[in-house]
Amino acid sequence: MNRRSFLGGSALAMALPSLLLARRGQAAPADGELRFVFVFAAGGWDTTRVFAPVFDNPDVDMEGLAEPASEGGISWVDHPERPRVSAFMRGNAHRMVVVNGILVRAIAHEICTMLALTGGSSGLDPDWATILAHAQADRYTLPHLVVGGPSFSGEMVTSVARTGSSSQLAGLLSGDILQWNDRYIGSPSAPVESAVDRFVRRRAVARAGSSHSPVDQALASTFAAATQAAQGLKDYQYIMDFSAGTSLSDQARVAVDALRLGLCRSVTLGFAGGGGLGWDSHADNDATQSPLFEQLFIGLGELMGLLDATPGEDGVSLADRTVVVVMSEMARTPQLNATLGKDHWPYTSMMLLGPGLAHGRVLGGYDGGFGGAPVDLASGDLYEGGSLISAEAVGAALLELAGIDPGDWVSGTEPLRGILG
Amino acid sequence: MVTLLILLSCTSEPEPVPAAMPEMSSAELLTRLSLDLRGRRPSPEELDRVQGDPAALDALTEEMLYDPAFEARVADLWSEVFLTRTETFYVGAEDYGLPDQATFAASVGDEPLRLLARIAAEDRPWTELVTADWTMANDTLLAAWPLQGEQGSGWRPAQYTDGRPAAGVLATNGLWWRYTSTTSNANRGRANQISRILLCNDYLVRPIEFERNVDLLDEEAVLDAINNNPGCVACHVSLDPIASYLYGFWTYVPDSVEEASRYHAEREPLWSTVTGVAPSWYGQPGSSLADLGAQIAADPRYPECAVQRTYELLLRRPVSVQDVDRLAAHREAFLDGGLTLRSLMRSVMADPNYRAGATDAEGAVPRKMVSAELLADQVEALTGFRWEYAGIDMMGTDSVGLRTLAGGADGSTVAASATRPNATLVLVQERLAQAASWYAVASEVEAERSSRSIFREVDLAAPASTDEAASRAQIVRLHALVLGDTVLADGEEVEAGLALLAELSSVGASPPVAWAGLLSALMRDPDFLLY
Repeated sequence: MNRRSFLGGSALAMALPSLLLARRGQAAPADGELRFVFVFAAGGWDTTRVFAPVFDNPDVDMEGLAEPASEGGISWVDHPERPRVSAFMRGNAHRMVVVNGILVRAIAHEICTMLALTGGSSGLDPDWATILAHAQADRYTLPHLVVGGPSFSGEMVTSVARTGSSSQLAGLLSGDILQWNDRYIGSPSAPVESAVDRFVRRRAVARAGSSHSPVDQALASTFAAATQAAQGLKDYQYIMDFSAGTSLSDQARVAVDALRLGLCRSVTLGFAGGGGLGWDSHADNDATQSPLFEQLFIGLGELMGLLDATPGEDGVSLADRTVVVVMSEMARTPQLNATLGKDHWPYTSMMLLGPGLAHGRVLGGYDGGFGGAPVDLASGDLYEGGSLISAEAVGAALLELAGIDPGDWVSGTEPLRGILG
Repeated sequence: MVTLLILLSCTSEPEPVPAAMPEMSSAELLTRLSLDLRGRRPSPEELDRVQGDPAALDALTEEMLYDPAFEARVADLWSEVFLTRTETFYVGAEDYGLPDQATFAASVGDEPLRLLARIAAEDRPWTELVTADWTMANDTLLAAWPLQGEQGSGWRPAQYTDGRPAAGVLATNGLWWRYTSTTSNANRGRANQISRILLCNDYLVRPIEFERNVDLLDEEAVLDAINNNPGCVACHVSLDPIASYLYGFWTYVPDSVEEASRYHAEREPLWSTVTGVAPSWYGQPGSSLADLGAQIAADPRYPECAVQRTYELLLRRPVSVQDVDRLAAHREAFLDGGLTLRSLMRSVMADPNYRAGATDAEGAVPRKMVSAELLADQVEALTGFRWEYAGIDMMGTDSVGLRTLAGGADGSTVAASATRPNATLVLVQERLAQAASWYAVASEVEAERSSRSIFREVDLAAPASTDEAASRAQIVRLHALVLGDTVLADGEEVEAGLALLAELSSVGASPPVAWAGLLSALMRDPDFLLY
């Protein structure tokens, strides 16, 4: 008898709905009201340093000073060098779900990134954040704002824009970027720019209406829409600051501003600790990962604090409207290598916070070889006859949470409905 | 991919003979050819030639195929395949005592592309890409690496002096600084790049099903699985032997100048202790990188991939099953042309899909979008303006620049160039157009009209209304230069231009600023991006 069949006939099963309700903690808003923030840690994090407290597995190199910790159904790895990690977990367990043992079917950064974010490896498909945003493209000036990290827009390119790691978008909107120029001559005055803008918009609309073929029509219409979106963004520059660097705190501020003002539905943030693949700790794993986790969770704390403190357009706290997904494209081997580093590992973890989730749950897990443990995707319970959790299963569940049919985007797996509250 | 497509085609019903596909106008086609081959739009005089005599297009195409700008365009095109134009390497300019990191990084990433481009420009056979005993270098690389260059300036042929094998791009620092490896990866990632770039076979796009009965914690078990587990063997049996050719580029300390700069012939046999898999190319044994180059050059999939890549780069879309016949025809043209890239490009540019006009036929490309590089190139050709900031190419970089915002790919956070415009591209187009227009007007306002390239018809210091006929002629010229359009002096395009000039004047713009405003408006037109 497995856990699932046991529950099927037990008194516990009768009590399950009320337990789930207690976990949920807050009612999910209507599908269409949800917003999404994706936080991406590029390079491959070491799940054994936070999300996977596998102290009972002798084949996994845990840190010497690390201890298991838990709060409100969430368990994690506590370490004296990472007090802010534990503070965050304790403070947010009531609105968090952790998924362990997620299989990304590769061990190369670029392919894993595509798989984790899109479910495919071509790079031609839109990522989850873009699909979620594009579904409501008519409601937002810029449905998906990429403040940091990778993004894949597929055919939904008009729904996505990047801010740039040196505040390039802010400079483009204000025109200040014209001074980033070794041959700077001058720039148009506001009235001149406005007059030219109007001229360009008229031509764009006219051009979209005079296309000679479907391909041409699609491109010209996309250009007209992009021109409209660009103008919309210019208007936003007066009420929010798009400047964001590589620090998660700065990026969080831009994200919350954009959500507060209803500019976008999805925001992607990146935290790589100085750029590139900061988490890629093939040598000196702990000297790399430990401070990165601490900084990541400081940034996450600031993000959640801002979401808590900021009402959206309808007056409801953004935290009650926003699902935050924290992820890395892969994980790291359970054992240290000869240079005290860790190499690539295809089973990773993900942390999700916000409304509509099964709060206080850790789903999935790791087997004796530190591979993913199979689960019943519907409930999220460990189940020997179940399926390995894939990034696609989590992505599909997020789409379902937002009222989007995941079947349009994901095949070969059911959504991991166990994460849903 | 091509091989696969050919196999697929063998099992399907014969394709119905397609109806003749409408071709774009000679002016549109000239613009497309000119941008693809030279990175600039045709001159008004060239437009007049083909509009008066469409047959002149063939002669012009040949001229453009031999234009001095062709070489750099080829490098730009293939940069989307090689993805070596990154900004961060383990070793930087300061490690060599060089002052300019931006130039250094750009030079490193361009080395393999420039090698390829010279082969194209000099009609050398495609096989030389993997067999050449030379590379390309500029002053920066010559100052940094063990290279002996020819006399001259700019990019020029050079030879490594560290005794590395003759293997074309396979023996370039530029390629392997971009694609590094680790102890556990054992050059497999690099081997995959060879396969992806040169054979169009990317191992990493294959879904991996990890065998749950393999203990991934047990090094010996993993090694055993790689050699014996069918799920692992499918890739590793061919990938690992390629990786074993690459130990001459193995570095123990990746950020060591000495380690990274030179080839280590003494490390070539390291495969025997790392994986124990002897070097070979799909079963053909070898011992050196030169053997690998020769084996690739002799592999029929190698030219087939070149055909596929060229087709995809020029049409800006992936190949499909419907393209099989066309690819086969282009492959024949490539072979008949002595495996020169020019012969292949000439063939693809004659393809009905490339030349398609008003049609919804599947596979036809009646319009496509410029890349970030091509946008920058055509603006520079038109106005003389290249957007640089502290020496950094703003349209070719990301840390400070605008490449990915303009739809370009960096190979990591953005995997492929955009093929449709979005808001940030439109914003980049706007600011680039403004910067270039103001620069162009400032450059020409004091110059004699006969020496100007753009504003030959008007006195830039006088209001447009002073001499309306001249202003109309100037607007006609602007349309021809910027958009390749032939418009009438009394047509609605010219009236709209005059109206904009008047509006700009009414809001206080001086005559030069008004002309700069109109020029920038035309450079922000959709047809400046779509061609």
